[in-house]
Amino acid sequence: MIPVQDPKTRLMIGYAASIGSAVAYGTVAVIGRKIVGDYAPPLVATAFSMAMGTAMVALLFVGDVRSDIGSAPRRGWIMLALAGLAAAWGVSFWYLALDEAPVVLVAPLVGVSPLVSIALTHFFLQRLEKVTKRTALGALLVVGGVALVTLGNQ
Amino acid sequence: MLGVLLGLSAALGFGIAAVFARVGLQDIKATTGTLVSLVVGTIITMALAFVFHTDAILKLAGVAFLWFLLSAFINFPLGRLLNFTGVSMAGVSKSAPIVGSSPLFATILAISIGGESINTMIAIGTLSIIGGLAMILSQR
Repeated sequence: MIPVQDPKTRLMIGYAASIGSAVAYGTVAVIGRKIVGDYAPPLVATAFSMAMGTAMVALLFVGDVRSDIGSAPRRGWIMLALAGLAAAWGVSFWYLALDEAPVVLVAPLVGVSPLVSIALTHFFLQRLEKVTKRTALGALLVVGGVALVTLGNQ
Repeated sequence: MLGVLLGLSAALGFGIAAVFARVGLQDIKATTGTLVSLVVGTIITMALAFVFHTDAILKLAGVAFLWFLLSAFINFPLGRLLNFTGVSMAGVSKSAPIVGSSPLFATILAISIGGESINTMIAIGTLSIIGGLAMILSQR
């Protein structure tokens, strides 16, 4: 990847990447319905697609990984491993929740995760970034809207 | 009640993951970070899948793997990598709610391609998401 230094350019690329990610995740949700409906339980589908995704990312970006192995500090590796662990925890508890309650209840609850990120950022990452009132209000509107869209889809 | 607690635990996991990624991506490229998080996630979810669904795994049809492959390509080299790039460049507080709006795009696809219908609740939810995204994206 090419390093970008200008803050405005970084912000714009960050916004574009985040929107692209949301589109990708939204598309996967539609494909996932087909897979879970016709071929495999959700946890099995996630595990196998994650394994294939790992192989793809490793093949595509082997050069970046090699350069980071030589230069990145241990803290970065640990934090990203913890990110993977926490995401796996999220996936696991999601399926456990679906065993106990209907998706109409679970999906809006899981949808509050951006608010968790924002709260943690506000309390623990003030040195890295400032959470503005505008961001918090925007996130509340998104989370509320996601809950309504989820309920409307049931 | 247990379902609510488990659902909130899932949200906590996803929320914490984004924050750990934000810290880790200060020192490591988004591409490498995506791979590290995927390796850990794969080990855990694969272990859980074999513990709880061994029979289903042994009975998987060949065509299922093609669907897994398609899902994997969109989810990880695209979705997760773009997610980490967003966190790294825009910050987790701005990126997380934008990425969290993904059900809107799923609904748009389901309506435009899947032929599903729109109702009042979806319409209000969509307006709310667009309003929230506009508030976040209009910050410079």
